[in-house]
Amino acid sequence: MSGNLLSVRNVSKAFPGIQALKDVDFDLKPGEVHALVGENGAGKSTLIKIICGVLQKDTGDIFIGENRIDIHNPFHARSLGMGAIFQELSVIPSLSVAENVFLGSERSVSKRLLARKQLIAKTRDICAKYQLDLDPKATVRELSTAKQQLTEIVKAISSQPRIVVMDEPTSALTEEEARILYSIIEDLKKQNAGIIYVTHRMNEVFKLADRVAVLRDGALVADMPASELDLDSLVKFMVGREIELYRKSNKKREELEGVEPFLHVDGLSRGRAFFDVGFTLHKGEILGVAGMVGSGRSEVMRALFGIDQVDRGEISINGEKVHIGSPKDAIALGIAMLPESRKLQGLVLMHSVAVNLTLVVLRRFISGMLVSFRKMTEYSVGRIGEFDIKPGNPGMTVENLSGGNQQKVCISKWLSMNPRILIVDEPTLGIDVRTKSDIHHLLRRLANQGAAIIMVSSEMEELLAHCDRILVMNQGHMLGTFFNDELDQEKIMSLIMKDSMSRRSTFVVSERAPK
Amino acid sequence: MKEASQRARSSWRDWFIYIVLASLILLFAILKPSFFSLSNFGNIARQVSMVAIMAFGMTFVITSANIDLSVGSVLALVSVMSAFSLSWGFGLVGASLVGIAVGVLTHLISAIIVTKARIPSFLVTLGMLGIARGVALTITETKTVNIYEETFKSFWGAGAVFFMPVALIWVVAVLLISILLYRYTIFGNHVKATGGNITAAQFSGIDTDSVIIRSFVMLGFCTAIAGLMMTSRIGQGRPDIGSGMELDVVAAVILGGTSLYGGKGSIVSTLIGALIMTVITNGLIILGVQYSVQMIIKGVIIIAAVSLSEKNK
Repeated sequence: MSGNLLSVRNVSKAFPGIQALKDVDFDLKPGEVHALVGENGAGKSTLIKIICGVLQKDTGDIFIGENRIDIHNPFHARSLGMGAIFQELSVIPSLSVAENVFLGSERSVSKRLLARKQLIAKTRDICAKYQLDLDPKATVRELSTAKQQLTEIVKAISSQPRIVVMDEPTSALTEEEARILYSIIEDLKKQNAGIIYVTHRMNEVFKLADRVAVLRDGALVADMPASELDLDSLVKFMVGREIELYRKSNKKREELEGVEPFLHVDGLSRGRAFFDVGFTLHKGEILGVAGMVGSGRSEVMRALFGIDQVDRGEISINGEKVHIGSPKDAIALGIAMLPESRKLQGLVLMHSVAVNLTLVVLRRFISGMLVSFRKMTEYSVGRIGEFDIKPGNPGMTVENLSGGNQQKVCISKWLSMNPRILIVDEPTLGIDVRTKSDIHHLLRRLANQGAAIIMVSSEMEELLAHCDRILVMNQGHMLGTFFNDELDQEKIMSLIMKDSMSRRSTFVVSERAPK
Repeated sequence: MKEASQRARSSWRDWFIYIVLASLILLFAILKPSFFSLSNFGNIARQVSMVAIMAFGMTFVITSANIDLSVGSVLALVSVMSAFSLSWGFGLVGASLVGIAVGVLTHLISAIIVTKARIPSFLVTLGMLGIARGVALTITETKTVNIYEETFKSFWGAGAVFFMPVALIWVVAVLLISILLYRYTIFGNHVKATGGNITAAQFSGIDTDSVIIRSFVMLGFCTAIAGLMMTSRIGQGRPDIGSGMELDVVAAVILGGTSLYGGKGSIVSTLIGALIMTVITNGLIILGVQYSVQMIIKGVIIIAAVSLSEKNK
């Protein structure tokens, strides 16, 4: 244990029906980032939850420094010098940023009365130290998801922890905010804290990690310096076979040029969400939409699917002008949308796989006046096989599926209506590499079968690898549509940065008179 | 920009209940000028006091994402137990302590079942609603218990200090204590955290069970105060009082903008909500509207006000 902040030895944990962890060893040294990677269900979450005191181990030992300790609950973990940023937002929407940062540790500042002024001042100090653009007085409810996540990060580091656990901390952050997090991590390292970093983003592993531990099916399969790994070998450890995640699958420019577009969008505007957005989409094409969270990209998709109404603009499909007043209209026109949040907008979590799969096309399973449960199940079994949904039980509650499998249910639900236009918003967010690659292949296959696909994603590598053209948005404005070969990651970033700079000065003008 | 417009909307929402209250007063004053008189405002002040005091406590319970339907019944139990205590010669202090103990204990029992057995508070307090009323009716054999202690009556509300009715003094006292606890203590913030996101609160090291229990105890204390005031005003311990009062109390809290899903609220707005409920009742009585029709009109106004304010959220 010598010199380790944290040593996990032979820890096992079983849930009913699953051995989640098998004899896992894990170390954390001062001043290092130890990445923890693996597919969904590999046991990462279980391991960090045990370390943070949320779950109790079945067998094995945990040492903090030299002392063997059973961590009883999250508060105990915190008192042992741990700070955690969880994947699910764990901020209280109705409280202010400062109140959230010191939630549970207010007594370090004052005994009974709430010392708001001091909390605000202390929070402001932390924000200033890391140059965070976060107002300590703001109510969390009114902040963007990214700022809420920043609040949680500030909360985790406010107690000056020695051991920091970060579970997918950047999944809600824009690239710029992620860079702030990276600098916070550098700072923590300099102060000799150790960081356990859980992520699905492979580029982060190589950017941040000193060492990488890989879990597969509950067992540790590799633990080595990041410098001895490359993307292919890492993915191979995780999956147990080779997968090429970012192999280019896009079409050549010649295949699209000269073809009559299927969807025409012109001059679409809605309030302050987006202005004058226009583009075309061909059959067989995957159009990527790049932009920061809050750039208006998701809002445009919502409008295309009829969830929000537009103020101005025209949409035509196959040369015919159409009006999309509701998702029902959109579905009738053959448009399907995989929403940004599968849990909130995509699935009925407490219902079974079969019920979710047949939600859009329930009409098909009616015999007489009643829904035929037998037909539904037969259909679902077919779909489950086709999309390799695990576990393959149509009666299983969707809530109990892993994120990747939930997403598969969500996609196949929409494919049941054979959409002519498929909009996918963040289709692979928080999903393991194997399922991610499955989804990429699926989208390309659908395109090859003649569907027109729009893919919104925060991950630029994904867009650049799989989209034929890419539309770039910033602050509600469209910066242009580019062929895949005209762009790379730096080009997209610099387009967005330049636009942000120019807009800052002309903001008031453009607000009064949007084009 | 989005944040700014949201803030503008939420401040409009804060003002909404004041507008509702003012328009109701205006409406009744036009329909019946005697409504707008000093003596009637005195009536309203006395009538609002009990609903308001219980609503302050209820704001804590609802903010913690729970509810308590038993307050009307517990009020009756407090009333008969304190009246019995007086007849046994416990005096003002003894009878008051018994009343407070009854209010606090019944709520403590509910809260322990809610937190330890993990049964929704809606069901537990629905059960307590029956139990408390049943006990009150059983021990009195459904009869009233007369009170002859004048000090008790004047202390808890029948009397006046200078020109201030005692009832008003109690409301202001509980109001100030509630504001202090709700806005300016760590406990208040933990109530909001527990109701806002119970998992996050636990991850932050908050003992959410204890927070919920303390919220219920606060409500129990408020219910006891209201019960003692009611008892002193009618000069009797009665097992049949307060029935249906839980609806006025919950309506006052929700009208005041406290989220039924927990996490946020305001004590001052709860007071306005209680005033709205009282003004409606008082105004309809003055207009001579039948009790049955009163109930219908009250129901319609509550639904309209809440849906209007939800819409403008």
